[in-house]
Amino acid sequence: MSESWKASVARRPLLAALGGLAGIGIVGSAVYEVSGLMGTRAAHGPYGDLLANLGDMNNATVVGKAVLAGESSFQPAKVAESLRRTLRDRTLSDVLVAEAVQNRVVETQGWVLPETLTRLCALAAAAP
Amino acid sequence: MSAFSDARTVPSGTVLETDLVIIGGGPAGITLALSLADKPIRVLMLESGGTSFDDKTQSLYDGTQTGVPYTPLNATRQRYLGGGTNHWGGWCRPLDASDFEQRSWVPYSGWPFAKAALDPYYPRAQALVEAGPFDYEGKYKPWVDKYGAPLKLGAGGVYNSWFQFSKMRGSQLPTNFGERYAADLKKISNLTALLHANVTNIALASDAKSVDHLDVATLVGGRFTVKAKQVVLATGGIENVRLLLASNGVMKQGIGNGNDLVGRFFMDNPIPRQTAKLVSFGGPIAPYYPSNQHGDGAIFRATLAVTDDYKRTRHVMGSLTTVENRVELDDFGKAVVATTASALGIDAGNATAYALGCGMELKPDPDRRLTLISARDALGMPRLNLHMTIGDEDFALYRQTMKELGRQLLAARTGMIHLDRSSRESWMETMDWGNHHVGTTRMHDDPKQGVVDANLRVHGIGNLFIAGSSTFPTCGASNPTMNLVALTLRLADHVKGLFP
Repeated sequence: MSESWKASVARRPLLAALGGLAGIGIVGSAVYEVSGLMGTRAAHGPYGDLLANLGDMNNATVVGKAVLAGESSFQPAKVAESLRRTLRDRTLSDVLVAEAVQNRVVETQGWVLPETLTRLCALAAAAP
Repeated sequence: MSAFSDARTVPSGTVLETDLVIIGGGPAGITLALSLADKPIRVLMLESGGTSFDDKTQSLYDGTQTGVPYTPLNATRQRYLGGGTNHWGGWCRPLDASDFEQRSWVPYSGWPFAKAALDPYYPRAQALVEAGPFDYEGKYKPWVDKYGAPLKLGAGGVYNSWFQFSKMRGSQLPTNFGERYAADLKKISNLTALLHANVTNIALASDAKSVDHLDVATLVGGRFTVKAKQVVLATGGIENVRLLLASNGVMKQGIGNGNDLVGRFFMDNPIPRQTAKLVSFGGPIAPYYPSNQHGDGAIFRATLAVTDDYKRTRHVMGSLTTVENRVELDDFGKAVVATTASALGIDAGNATAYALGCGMELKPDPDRRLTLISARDALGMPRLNLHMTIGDEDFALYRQTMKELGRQLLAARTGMIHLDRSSRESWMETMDWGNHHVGTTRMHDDPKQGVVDANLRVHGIGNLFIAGSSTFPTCGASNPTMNLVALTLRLADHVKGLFP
């Protein structure tokens, strides 16, 4: 893989930490410039509480658009409600691992992904 | 005669008599000859070729093909001493226990014995193919200690297993039985090896219950006869068929073909390339995945195999997935990996992607078959047509296994999988074949379902045996050479009992 992509991924923990300070406009602006990927849109949207689980909103949106391409009746509000229940007492990581163990995986353009991750990404893509 | 003789010097009309004749000097024939060395049995081995490649001899293999593309019949084999080991890749791995079982989801499956019947012969087979210590399930800890731990997988249907390799000497190919064992064969006092000797007919007695004699020809016009108490046919999974079908003087449908089985059920291991991409979140995986490694007297390589339990419960076929080369992901793939790793709480800063390849097990298909055609070779024998097939289900079942691997990587939080192929056309784009010729004289206790019995004796013919992978009822995913050597060692024990 390209070195630039590795660098982008490696920076993600730092970006995520900085993303938590999104209320500080100057910091958020700096992150956006550095990464070219990080947006603040989702964090302020109606599903911001859920989408905060995703590290990089632009990447998640790219994945989500692919998920939505295979969905004919995606209902964001209902999906969000379900995801909130799923994630109420567990971390996203724990949920995804549990789904993999339970064979709750789906294909998105050939990638084998846990169900909840695809639903979160779809929400990111569908969010206003 | 000396141990190695030239059939072209045998006067026409000569009748050679012996206790046992082995037709074919490939890995099966040579293994059998070596195994009988300490017995007072006069053995004659007839090899069509000499000790090196010859165009005229090789052209005896010419044939035609229909169905899906497959290696030309004159290229998928080597017609000289050593046979298939003149061009094999040296990949070794025993068949799995489930490969021997009757599997309800695999029509025509089930060997007449369990793997346990072959287990005693594997160490000797391993020694003959010179593949080092016998350790296919990774108990050989020094490998892991030296090169690092295998890829961590969650519980499931795919597990880390191993290939071992027939030894290479410098740039030489793996153990070539003809070259490697020529000196040993020459030392066997009771063995005569006739090179350039082509069996053109297996002549049955008039009651069709035994072989009376063999007709032998040379490419310089010689014709002579061999009479033997016992006959072992060991010319490979394609040529065995031609000789049986063409030997129709007494049994008009061909020897052993009373139930129209000879030549049917041809199998090989499809080797599609770039079947999937494996992403390792933690960076490069151990070097014994993408390439062969040397250690402690062995050459080895990891493979991702299917557990017997998964085969039994999910009804997939066998497959052995190999890691091929590093690949670059497209932008969408990068976004997927970054998103997934982040969601799993994993730092994928060194994530590395690899293309996967595999060796698959085909479902037996009676219509995947060899038949005689009207064209004839230089010795007057009819040539063969191979009709090759591969079912959509064969691809779908392997794809299911790859999806299982993806699930297991996610469960372990170590990586993920992209399935590269989803249409028949796509699978066929990179299709290669193992050139493993299996199944055409299949083994079964019931003559209506098999050409040979559990002792490899042709049903109904008292003194005719077949050695080699043509007797495998199913092929498994493991490469056949070491397995056919083990089966031949078992046959040797049986043959010894025929000469008290």
